[in-house]
Amino acid sequence: MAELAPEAAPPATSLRARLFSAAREPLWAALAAVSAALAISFLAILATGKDPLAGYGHMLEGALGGFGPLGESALKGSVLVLTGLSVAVAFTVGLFNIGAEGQLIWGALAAAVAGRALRLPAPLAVPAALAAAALAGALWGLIPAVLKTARGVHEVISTILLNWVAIHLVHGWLVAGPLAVPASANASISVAGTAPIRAAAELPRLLPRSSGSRLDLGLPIALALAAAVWFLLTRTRRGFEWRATGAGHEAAEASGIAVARCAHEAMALAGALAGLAGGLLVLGTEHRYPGVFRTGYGFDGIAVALVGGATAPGTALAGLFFGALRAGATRLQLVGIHQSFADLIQGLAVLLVAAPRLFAPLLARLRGKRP
Amino acid sequence: MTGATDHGAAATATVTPGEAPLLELRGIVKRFGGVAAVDQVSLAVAPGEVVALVGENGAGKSTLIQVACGLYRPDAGEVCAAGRALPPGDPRAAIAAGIGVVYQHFMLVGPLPVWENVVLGREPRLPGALGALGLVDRARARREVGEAAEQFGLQLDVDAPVESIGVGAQQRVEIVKQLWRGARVLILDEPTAVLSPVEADELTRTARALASEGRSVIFISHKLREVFAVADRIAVLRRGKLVLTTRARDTDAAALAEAVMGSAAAPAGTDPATKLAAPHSASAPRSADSSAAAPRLVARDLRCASDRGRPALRGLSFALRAGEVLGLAGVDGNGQGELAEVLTGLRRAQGGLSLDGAEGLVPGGWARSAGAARAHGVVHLPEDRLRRALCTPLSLEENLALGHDAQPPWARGPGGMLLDRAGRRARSLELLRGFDVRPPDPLARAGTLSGGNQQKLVVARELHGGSPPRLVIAVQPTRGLDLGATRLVHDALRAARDGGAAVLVASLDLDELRALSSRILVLYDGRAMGELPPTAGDDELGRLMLGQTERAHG
Repeated sequence: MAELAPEAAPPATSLRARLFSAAREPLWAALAAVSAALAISFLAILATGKDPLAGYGHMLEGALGGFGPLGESALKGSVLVLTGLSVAVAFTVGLFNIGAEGQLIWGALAAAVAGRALRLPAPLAVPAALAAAALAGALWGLIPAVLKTARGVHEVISTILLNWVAIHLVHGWLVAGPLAVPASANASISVAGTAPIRAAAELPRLLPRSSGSRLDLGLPIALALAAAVWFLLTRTRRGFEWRATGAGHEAAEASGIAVARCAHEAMALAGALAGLAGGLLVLGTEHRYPGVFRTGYGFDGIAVALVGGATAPGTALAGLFFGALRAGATRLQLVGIHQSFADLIQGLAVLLVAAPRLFAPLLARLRGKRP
Repeated sequence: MTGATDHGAAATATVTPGEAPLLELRGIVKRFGGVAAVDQVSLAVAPGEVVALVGENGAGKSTLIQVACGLYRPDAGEVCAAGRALPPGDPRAAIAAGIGVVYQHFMLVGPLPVWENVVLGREPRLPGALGALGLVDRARARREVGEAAEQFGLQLDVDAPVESIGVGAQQRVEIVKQLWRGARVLILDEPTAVLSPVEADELTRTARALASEGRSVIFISHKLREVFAVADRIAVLRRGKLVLTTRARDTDAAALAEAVMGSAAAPAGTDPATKLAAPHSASAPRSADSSAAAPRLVARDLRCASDRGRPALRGLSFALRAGEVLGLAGVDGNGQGELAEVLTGLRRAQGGLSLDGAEGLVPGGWARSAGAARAHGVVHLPEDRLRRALCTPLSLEENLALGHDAQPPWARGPGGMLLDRAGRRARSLELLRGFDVRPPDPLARAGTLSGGNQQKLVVARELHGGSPPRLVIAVQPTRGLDLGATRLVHDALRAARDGGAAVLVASLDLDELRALSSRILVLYDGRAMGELPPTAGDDELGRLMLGQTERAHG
């Protein structure tokens, strides 16, 4: 169709929009990127003089070899699914949420405090503590959104800075000071941190202890939320208005959509999802806010959302994959390979997914000139 | 096949014997995928000649230009300059051979002064060692640019930052840039699309002047009137093929329109827009006594600021009745854009604004937010479609839903909370086909459509996507559109008027205003300079547009 325009000017796309060109490629593009990342890392391990085959074998076993490893993969995966969704939801309205880490930290702290303070039976204590986590994350996520809509502060800057505010407020002051367990009261525990949560607030395990799996309610919660986010974004009017805001906020505004409200809502949800990720960590595995808590899950959420194409199903799959990668990575050390090779795989996968999108306009131009 | 044609004899190349054409395209073929965007086109331009290249959006004009200036490598054929074949796909060779293009979208750096923009990339160096170090001879550059502008009679303040001068002056910067670089063939890609009538006339004179001193000009345009004013010869492209080349004096507008649109041009009565509009117009026919009814829109002493905080409207008052089209004339930047934004709830203003008696500017009024304006039946065909009307990464059906996504058939469920995907698809297909949007694929991304089809999409959505509009605000509704799309947009606006809407059309194209309006309001410096009937001449309108009152002349 000649109408399909060499004459139509290509729409200007921001770097961010290109990075998150949602679901433009089918699943196989992400799979190809991950496979290539595995292959390159294989060569890198080989170059260090170690045995990559044995390393990958151990990694596979650590991720998928039995109930115990599967449980670990699911634990980490469910947290990554939530932080990934956090980044993906923010992107829907055109915001790049680098702040999932900070939102996660507040969510974790809120879950620890609520899980300790609330005297409720288990069926109420867990939802209440999770709600506290979501609320804390949502409020922290709302700050950059309001700064953006009211004052024009770029959300990448504000979310990065707010991460540090959260880290220093929580780690440097609250957990070390007002909320710390007095050393005398709990001398058996050498590590600092908040008081442990009540047993009723602990996330229920799904499998008996004898199975060796720590699989808990986190996985079904994360997957249900992924399904809910998918429904919200693709089937509801509110989701459509969010997407329109992200795809062209001036056109969305002219069509009568309250674009500032959309940005606030989406960032609050993004913060809530990251906060819930923190809640899962505290209620599921830590059972308190530990004194040293450098998760990196919030930052990895960016990678998860990128590889997942910023769609809910893609993000869920990518989160589970990177969860398995993280779980398996601990076993790399068994054959003397440094654990950071798992980070290399993750980083390469992101690079390989992102690179074609970044360079797509260039490639298209080259193709146009020299067919 | 050379110079494929519907009009046999007329298409033979009419290069004056003895003079080698400055630019000659021989049998150019350029395919994208399987589609030939340009198919076997041969065209020569002699020194001293202005050739107009005419055709609809997507007819292949821009592709042909890209081949001529070396940006595209043709699949067949060759480009010759002054008798020598140029290496294909080599823009530097084309520039060296004196082929210069002024694009529709200017390639200028806003904060830099005019002269720096002209010399950018080929700055003259200082003599000696300093020059070898890369130091620019600023004095010489500035002087040369000034001389070049003067030589060709182009008025420019060479020291002004480019962003501070008007669109017409920016275009002159582009022209001077090409001439300073030694262009002997100047290709102007839809140069008048962004100009006011006065500026367009000036450009026509410039093109003639360049030709008279032995250069060649290729002038791309949709507007038949100006084509006849400027061109010695006219070449018509349709679907990639050259269907007609003729001397301008050997043809007329009707023959040219037929060549441009082909025999497929549908008679006006069967236009899709009018068909779709039928149900509305039946309920509220355009009545002669509409003038007796209370006006639908009354603006009293409207004042607002521009984006830069300067006063844009300074006390504008007018009235607009249902079933009427009010034309808004004025040189670009005299408050038209701001007025449209005030009326559609996108810009704060002071003064009075009532729609069927409802006050708009009071707190909670209909003009206080875009959503409220829409809810009151105000629809908007904005000037900047790509930014203001379309979410280019979204699909056509999603773009069609914008603005009425809460109503059936776009939404369902309690409070319209859920998307009605089936209803949306059905309505979208109806609108896409009804307005001849090509391709009519509801899942295609809006950004992939050509300009004309994007505007058809916007018109379909605004005028027929939801309940019938009460007030239509259209700014430059056919800018950059081909004849077919222009007619479709005009018919849709007339159908909305006949359906009982009040229509406000702002345009720089006076012919368009005359064709649509029952009255033309001239805006100057944020105020109404006067109101004229559509029969008013260019002189009369032009004087008001320049802020000259009758009294000053009489």
